[in-house]
Amino acid sequence: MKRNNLIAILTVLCLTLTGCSNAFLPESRDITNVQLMRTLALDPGEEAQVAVTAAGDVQPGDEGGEAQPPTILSWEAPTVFSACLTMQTYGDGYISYGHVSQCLINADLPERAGSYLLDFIERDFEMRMDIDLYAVMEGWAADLLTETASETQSATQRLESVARDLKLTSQGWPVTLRDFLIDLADNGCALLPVAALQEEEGEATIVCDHLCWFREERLGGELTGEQSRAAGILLGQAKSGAVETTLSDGSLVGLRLTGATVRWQPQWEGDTLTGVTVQVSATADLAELRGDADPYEPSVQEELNQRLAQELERQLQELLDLSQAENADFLHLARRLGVQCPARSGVLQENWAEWFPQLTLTAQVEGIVERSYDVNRAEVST
Amino acid sequence: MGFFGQRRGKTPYHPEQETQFPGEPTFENVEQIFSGCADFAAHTVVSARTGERFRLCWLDGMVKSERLNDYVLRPLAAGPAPAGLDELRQLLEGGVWNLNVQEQTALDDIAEQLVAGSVAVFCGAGALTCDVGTEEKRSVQAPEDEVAAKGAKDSFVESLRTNTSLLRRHLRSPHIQIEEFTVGRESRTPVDIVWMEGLTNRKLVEDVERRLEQVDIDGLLSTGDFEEYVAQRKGATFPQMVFTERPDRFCRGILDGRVGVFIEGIPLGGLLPGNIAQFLQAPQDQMYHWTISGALLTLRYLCLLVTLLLPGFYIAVASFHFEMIPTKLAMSIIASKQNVPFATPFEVLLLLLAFEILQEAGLRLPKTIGQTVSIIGGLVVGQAAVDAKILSPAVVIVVAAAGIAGFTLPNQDLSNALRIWRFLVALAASAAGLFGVVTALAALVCHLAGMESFGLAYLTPFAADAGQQVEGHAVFRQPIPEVKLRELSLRPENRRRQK
Repeated sequence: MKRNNLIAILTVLCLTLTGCSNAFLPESRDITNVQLMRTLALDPGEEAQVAVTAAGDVQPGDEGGEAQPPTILSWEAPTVFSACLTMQTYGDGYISYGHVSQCLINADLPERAGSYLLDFIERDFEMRMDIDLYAVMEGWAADLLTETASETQSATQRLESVARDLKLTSQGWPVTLRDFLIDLADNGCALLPVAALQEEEGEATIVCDHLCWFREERLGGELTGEQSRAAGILLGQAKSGAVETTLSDGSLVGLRLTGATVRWQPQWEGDTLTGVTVQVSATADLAELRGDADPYEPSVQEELNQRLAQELERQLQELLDLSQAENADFLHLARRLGVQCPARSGVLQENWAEWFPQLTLTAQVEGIVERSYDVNRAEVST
Repeated sequence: MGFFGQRRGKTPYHPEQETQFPGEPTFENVEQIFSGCADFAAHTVVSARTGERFRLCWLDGMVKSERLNDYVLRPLAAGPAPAGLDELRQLLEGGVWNLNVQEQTALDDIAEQLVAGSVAVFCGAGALTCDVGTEEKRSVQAPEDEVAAKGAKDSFVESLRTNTSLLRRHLRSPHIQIEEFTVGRESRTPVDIVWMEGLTNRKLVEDVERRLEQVDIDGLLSTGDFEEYVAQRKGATFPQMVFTERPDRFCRGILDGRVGVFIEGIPLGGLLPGNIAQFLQAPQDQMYHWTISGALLTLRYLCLLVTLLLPGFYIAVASFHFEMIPTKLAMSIIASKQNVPFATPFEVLLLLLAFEILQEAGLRLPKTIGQTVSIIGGLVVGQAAVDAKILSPAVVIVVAAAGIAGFTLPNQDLSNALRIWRFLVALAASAAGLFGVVTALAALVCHLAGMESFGLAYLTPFAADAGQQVEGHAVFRQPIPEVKLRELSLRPENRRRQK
């Protein structure tokens, strides 16, 4: 019995020497021989080709040795896939796109070129649906990768930092490929943060301070910083941010937005939607006060509330008007109203294209400045 | 010589002789049996009153001199003398001051009693044996391997009778039954099986008795001799019998409806049947609050998975599925593996092997030197290997974590079995990545599912017989007042544990 077992084991081991194992066992790709790409950039190439640029991250030095700048590879090809495949031959090891976490799309790409990338990411077995997408409006997307690459920094690191900062300023938010595709599938419109190259003290860096909107995978237009924040409030993405206003006595006030609740109020006439009122209850803290106004005076507090409401109301109304003027429902009002009134969801979907340009869109904001700190009196006003 | 030892030939016939020493039970014949034995001693006593000659013999070191003097020699020489040919009867009825006096009619029995520590008294044509054995034995001490802060501080010793007394002190029930067997043609080792009348399944007891009677070896000298004969399925790497040095844990097993086993010369009590949950329970589980015990038990199960799967899982993700690794961690692993010449599977297998060698070396050496070996091997050589870029720090962490997780398991036999399977999982992962890990895991589950111990499925309570619910004995144990019934899987005659 023991001899039989030994023969069986040796037979199995000998089978692995025949090379037949490749036919039924997965192929090994040891992590030692892998180069991880972290960011992809997509630009228009020559003769309707697509220029794909892939960048890795800063490679830490061996035991405190000098760090290596990120690896950057670029290739033009008719498809994103063939460009990525060709770049395999240029790396030191196996180029893996499985850890790509950001993707920059040049807004000047010809029609539907952007969809090539999305299609490639969707279908590729390595790539992930939680890749953050950014639009590049000026210059080349590849420049953002090459200009920011150094031994201490990479575009990847900068974009990760940008994604964190976006939540603080509320002038945008990271949009993943999954979110983008869901929005496009809903009504053909989707928002993306805009990334741009900026020189700061001789060093190139990436900034992101507003959004743009896409319609049918093509750039529709840009939003200003204020409009981007208004979009964030309406879509529940804005958790903080600064609102600046001036009081009647000329004092300059900085308010820190701390929260906002949004209610959509549709107006129906029979089975026809005639208008939508968005009711926002925004809360903020008094962050800074330049002037003689006493924030503990009830009249000043009331004025603060009013100023906050007016300022946000103006921004929200501008955004709603823009959306209607462009006939682009990038706020996905139809979807929200459908969720709110499931019984009328079907009617909304059927007639939205007809109703949307004629709707009366109104923003109503209630502002509440909740508290402030007086360091001189060392007490809290609520 | 073959690969596994001596080349197998025809097994010679091994008959058991009914009578080893034929002949009359006389002093001369006994002297003949032990001729050449340096410890054989003999003495002749002449009765002061009747002039009768008594010939005594014993084995030095096996008897206690004071007992021999006080309880046998003195009454024979000076006590009320037996008169006439009926002296044997008189000796049996009080002529010697001994509780255990037996009349012997066979030479075999006399020889056996001498070895057991008796003195043989020959008078005329008859012979007696009196138990004057020495009780030199280790005193009851605190357990060394199964320490429990809030538990009893006694543990089993090598003496079987001391162990049964410990059992009776912990479990003062007259329903306790102790049956003795003698196992081993040459060792003649007493083996006691213990159960509780009216509670333990009678079929289980009979099954243990039957298997014990079938044991036919020359010597029963270790737990392995017993376990592999009675409890173990051939080819099973996992233990199927719980051995404990704690009387309280042993008693709890008896109360659950298990059969206990004591073997002379082994300071452990065995419990049958065994299932996997038994091997993950520690003595302190019943001593702490049920929430804490549950958390610790859950941690042990987690550690079981870690020690078994972590090296294989690391090989799989680092060699086949690196997309699964979080990006930052993947970059960290890549950085740590820079300039390391070996592929990940070889690196892990090499370190696993080194870990086993280190562990074995630490066990074989005296405790103080063993610690030094651990420090030199683990810290100095390990650090040097990392510095010299022979191994990557990530692999050292993975193998060390797997090893440490293995040490949390309370049963060494289970831990050893997992060490074997850890290698198999790592080899399977080297060949086929996660597919290999899952295949090896499936093989392990099949292996475990195919095992049973005295009719009890080994994977109980996770795969109890016919899907029967096992109350209060799952991973997260219930509060003790809630556990009203004994495990159904043991089929106790009385299931009710408490009111």
